[in-house]
Amino acid sequence: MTGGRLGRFGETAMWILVALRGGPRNVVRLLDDVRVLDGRVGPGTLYGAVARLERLDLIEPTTNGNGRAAYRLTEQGAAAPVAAAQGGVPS
Amino acid sequence: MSRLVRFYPRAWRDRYEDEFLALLEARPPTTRDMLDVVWGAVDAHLHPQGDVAPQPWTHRIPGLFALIAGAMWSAVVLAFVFWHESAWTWVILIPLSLLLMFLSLPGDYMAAHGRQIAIAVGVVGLCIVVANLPYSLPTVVAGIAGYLIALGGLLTLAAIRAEIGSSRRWALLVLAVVVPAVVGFPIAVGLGDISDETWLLAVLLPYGFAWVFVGLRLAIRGSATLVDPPLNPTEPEVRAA
Repeated sequence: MTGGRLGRFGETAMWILVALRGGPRNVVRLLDDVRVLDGRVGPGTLYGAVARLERLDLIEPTTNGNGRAAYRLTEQGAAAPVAAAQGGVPS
Repeated sequence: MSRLVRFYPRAWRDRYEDEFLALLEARPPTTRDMLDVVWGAVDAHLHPQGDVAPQPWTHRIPGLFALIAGAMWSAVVLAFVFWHESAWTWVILIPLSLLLMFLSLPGDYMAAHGRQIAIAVGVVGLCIVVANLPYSLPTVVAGIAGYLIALGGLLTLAAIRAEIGSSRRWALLVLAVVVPAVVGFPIAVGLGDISDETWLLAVLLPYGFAWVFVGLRLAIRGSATLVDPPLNPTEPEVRAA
């Protein structure tokens, strides 16, 4: 899928997509969720992956009830984790 | 935390700064996280996302020239401090680093500011002539003063090109050139009383380090994304009128 364009952020990007399958997440919760899935993620890496996923139109910004910045999957992004599971972890 | 975010490119900050700061406030970063943020900033410069087109590798050349120039300059100074007279063979690196300093000013900048560049080259040439006149205090003073002005001017142009904020730019210039010059000037003309090593370390080494810093900044940012502060801020309005 998009692994080639995600570079070293591929694994983190995949975990973001997996985390967002549970619904929109504000960035704090998104970081917490991704850390549960892959404990080493730092904020710089998280946003490196977020920026790439947004550019690839796999996620999009939204706001949660508190007006905090949040992200949700696009239609394309909703299918991406399945494709990743079928094709392996993006590199 | 906001200091860490300043490492990111402007386009990135415009898009993500607020939410990123909110994240750092909610989850205070560890030392490892801080390194991760800095590394993320380097990546954001090298691989800009969003509407910013990626830069060709050639845009890193001016920064690399500045970086190499600063490293060579610093190496010569340190060689003299540690190996004294036997380091004279290293002196060839000084004119080479000066050449690289000129070349680190990108071509479009040279074209737009050819007059200033020509003046700087002229000052350096004049200093070489003056420095080779028969010894006298006025020629030594004039020669050294001219060198300092030319070297300071080159560094300032590079700092402007590297988009170092105005306060930092001037702080850098003062720290790297003016203060050491004021300290070292009496020593250079024989009025001071400290060792040669101190003179070299106090005056010349900060200058080399400043070029390394500017070179790193310029290499990371690349020349294509730089916006020079206009030398004549009213020029656009004049043109528009």
